[in-house]
Amino acid sequence: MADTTTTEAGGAAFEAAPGGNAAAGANVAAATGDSGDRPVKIIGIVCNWCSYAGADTAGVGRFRQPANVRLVRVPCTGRIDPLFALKAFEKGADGVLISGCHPGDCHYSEGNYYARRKFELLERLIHHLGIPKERFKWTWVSASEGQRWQKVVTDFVAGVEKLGPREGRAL
Amino acid sequence: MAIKYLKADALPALLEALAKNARVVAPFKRDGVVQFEPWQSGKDVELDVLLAKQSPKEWVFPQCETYLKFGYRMEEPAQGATAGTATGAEGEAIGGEGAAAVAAGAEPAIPHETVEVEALNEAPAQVIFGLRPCDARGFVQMDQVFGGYGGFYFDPLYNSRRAVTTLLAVTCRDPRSTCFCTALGGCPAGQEGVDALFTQVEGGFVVEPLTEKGEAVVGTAGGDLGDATEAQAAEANAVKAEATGKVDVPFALEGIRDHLHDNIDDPGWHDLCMRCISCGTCTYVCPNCYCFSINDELVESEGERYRVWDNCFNPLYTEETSGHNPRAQKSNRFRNRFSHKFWYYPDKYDSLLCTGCGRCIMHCPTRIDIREVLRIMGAAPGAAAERAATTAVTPAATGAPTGAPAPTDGKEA
Amino acid sequence: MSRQDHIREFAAKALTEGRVDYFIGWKQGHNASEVVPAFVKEAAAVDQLVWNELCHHNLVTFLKRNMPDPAGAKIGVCVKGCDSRTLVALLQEELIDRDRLYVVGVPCDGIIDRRRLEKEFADEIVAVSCSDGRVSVATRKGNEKEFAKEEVLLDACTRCRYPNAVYADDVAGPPVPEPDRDGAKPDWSDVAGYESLSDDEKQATLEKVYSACVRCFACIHVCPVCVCWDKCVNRSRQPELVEQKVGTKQKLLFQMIHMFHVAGRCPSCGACDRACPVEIPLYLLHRKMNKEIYDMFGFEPGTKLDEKPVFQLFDVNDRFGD
Repeated sequence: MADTTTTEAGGAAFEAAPGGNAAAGANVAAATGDSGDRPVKIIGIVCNWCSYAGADTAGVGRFRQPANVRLVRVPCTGRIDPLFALKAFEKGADGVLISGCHPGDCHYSEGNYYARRKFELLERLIHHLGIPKERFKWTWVSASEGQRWQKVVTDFVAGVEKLGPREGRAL
Repeated sequence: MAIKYLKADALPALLEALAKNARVVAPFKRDGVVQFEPWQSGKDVELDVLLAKQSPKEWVFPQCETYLKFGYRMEEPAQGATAGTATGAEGEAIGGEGAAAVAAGAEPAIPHETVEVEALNEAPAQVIFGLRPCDARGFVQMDQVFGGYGGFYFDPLYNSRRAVTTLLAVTCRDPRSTCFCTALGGCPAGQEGVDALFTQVEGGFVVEPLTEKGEAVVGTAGGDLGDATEAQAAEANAVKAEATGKVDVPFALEGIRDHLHDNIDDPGWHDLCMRCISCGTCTYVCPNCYCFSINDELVESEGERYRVWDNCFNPLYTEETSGHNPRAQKSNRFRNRFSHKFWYYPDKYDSLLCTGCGRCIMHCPTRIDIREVLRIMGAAPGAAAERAATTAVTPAATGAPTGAPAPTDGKEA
Repeated sequence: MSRQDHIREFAAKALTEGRVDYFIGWKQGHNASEVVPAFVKEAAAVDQLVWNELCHHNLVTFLKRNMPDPAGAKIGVCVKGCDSRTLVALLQEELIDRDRLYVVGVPCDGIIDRRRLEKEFADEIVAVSCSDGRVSVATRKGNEKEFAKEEVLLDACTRCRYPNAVYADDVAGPPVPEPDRDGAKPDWSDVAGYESLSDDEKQATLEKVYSACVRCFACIHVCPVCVCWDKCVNRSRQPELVEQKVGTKQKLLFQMIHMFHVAGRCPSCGACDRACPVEIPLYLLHRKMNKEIYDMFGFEPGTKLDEKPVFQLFDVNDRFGD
């Protein structure tokens, strides 16, 4: 219901809207101020053959890692529709982590080659939506890389925690 | 009821006074788009643009309304208690069949699932200002659908909101070339469904309270609203007459129901719907398209049930559980909209389901003209050659306004 | 011979020879300010076809799945440069049968943004005409105004790189001069304003802009490359991936899904933008997506018939991610 003057060109509607805080990082402060006490929730979407097994390896190896990530197992990163990540944000996830087999190692030979093109565009458009880049990551972790999984999760969760939980956003 | 006069600059004060006891909804322009929105102090009501993009129906029949919240609970019976008393303790909780059986029988209490249901119905008092007589008439036609007309369903959600809604319509001064209310028995100063009619005259509005709700508005205004002079009343009548003269009467309604019935398998439907893209724009801007669907949304054990506008152009609208779709083709769905408005609805409710506002013509992405459709498909069958000829050339309605002054050079808007 | 005459001639010939069952072009709408899609079935009726600066409809929409009536009809169609790119995108994916098509390319000098004109008047526009780079507009109440054509062009036209059809069987008249595509990269300056916003401002802006959406789905139905029709994920209730509720969340999610699903196929023709009854600037989001795709692959959707959309291919040498 914000009041703005009539725009002349169609494009002008996309310029700064009232309600957006001009001060950089204001949303971070607001979000952390609002509900800084809630642990961040992160959706991890991982392929069955590498990253899910890699997470398992990390568990079996008893590598300490934050418990904020809920994993969704899919057959292959090629199965991941960009909708999954957007849906997670819509449903209130504070961060989305996507991981699969290293290029060349795909169980189905080429699923992740297709996937990485999509993920790259997804990442760019998630930033375009105004979701800070710390909240979305896609990477490769193989079944044997328990330590790498630990590092990926630890770093990602730390990045999201720095921003705090996301509240009151449409997407 | 006495005819009143309101000065134009006293309008904000009137809305402000009304807003003390009710939500005031009026057309406002935002980013060049006019829509009905809640009034806020300082916002200027947009009356120069004839029609808001959408009719105000969403304020009485919201596009999406949650009317039920529910949650599943596991009932752990207290030691020695029966399941029946455990359920009773939750008040509104409704036990499943199992729970009732357990309560009635002598079997021992066991953990069981119950559903808690909470009905929602938000109906704040509201005043809709600045709608046009065709919009108000749209509510009257919807009232029949939801109001139990002829013994059909009475909808508590719609009616509770309708009962507390006051409609303050503004006479159309400059009908568009897409307007055809007079063809359907309406008029730019129509009173059907209107609680008080405002007619713009020199310096202000002539206000005619038409119902008790309208009188209440006059009461709220207090001193701002004086009696209209005879000259003002006469001016208002002149404005109304002039506006009425500007509306095209594009087709005759005689026998339209029977003709639609007889033309149901006419290949003309295919020709007419060729440029339809099967979106729902016409139904969502329409003042009385009322179809909706009901959905449940369940997250873990908490859910809600809401109803949301649907439209007959949606391919899923008629899809059955089996997968069969009786209106699988675009032309079937296209035919339905017009047949519903001029055939099925009249059969059931004894009136037409169209007010002639012309929004569907204005906002259709391919400008499908309901008047053209009715002229062709609402005509007696057998005139096939004539119909084909009409389809082949540009529709008869031209841009030339009837009764409007001819374009003059050098005049700026 | 004008382009309009060419179109009529091609249509009459194709209909007479039985090459097509019907021919899709443009005709005048309910007044002289509107043009609507025309479906001509007989050679005798080709005189209703027009070509002018109001012919904004992308007629490729009427070729996509479930649109041809009867199914499998042989269809003739007029395409502008941008339209032809959507047609090529459909052909690249073999979503329509090339043998059933007869394509007339119409070289295009730019189309008028009627919405922009509407903003200039309170009353109704009843006539728009264009000559010598000037656009004259008349309203129902008799107001008249003239504009320079460049001022009232569609956004899509001001940065057009393909004014001539990239694929056509016949061309209506001589081609218009092509911009130097090899020398100059696409101009993405229209999305720069949005890109310069902070994250917070971007979100607030998107929420504001998309909250106006009424979920009528005109944008996806009019989109020539959006082909799922009754199987659209946004509408499907089995499974129900997108809630049918009408909140800003759902509206934004729905628009983003549309954007992703046409990525690599959408040339930002702007048909969605023009169809939107509440005037959401959808065009700009699609431009942004195209900018990123160009940046990633140097790819312009729907320009070469022998290419595949980038998201249906991969290259082991892609350098994305870590």
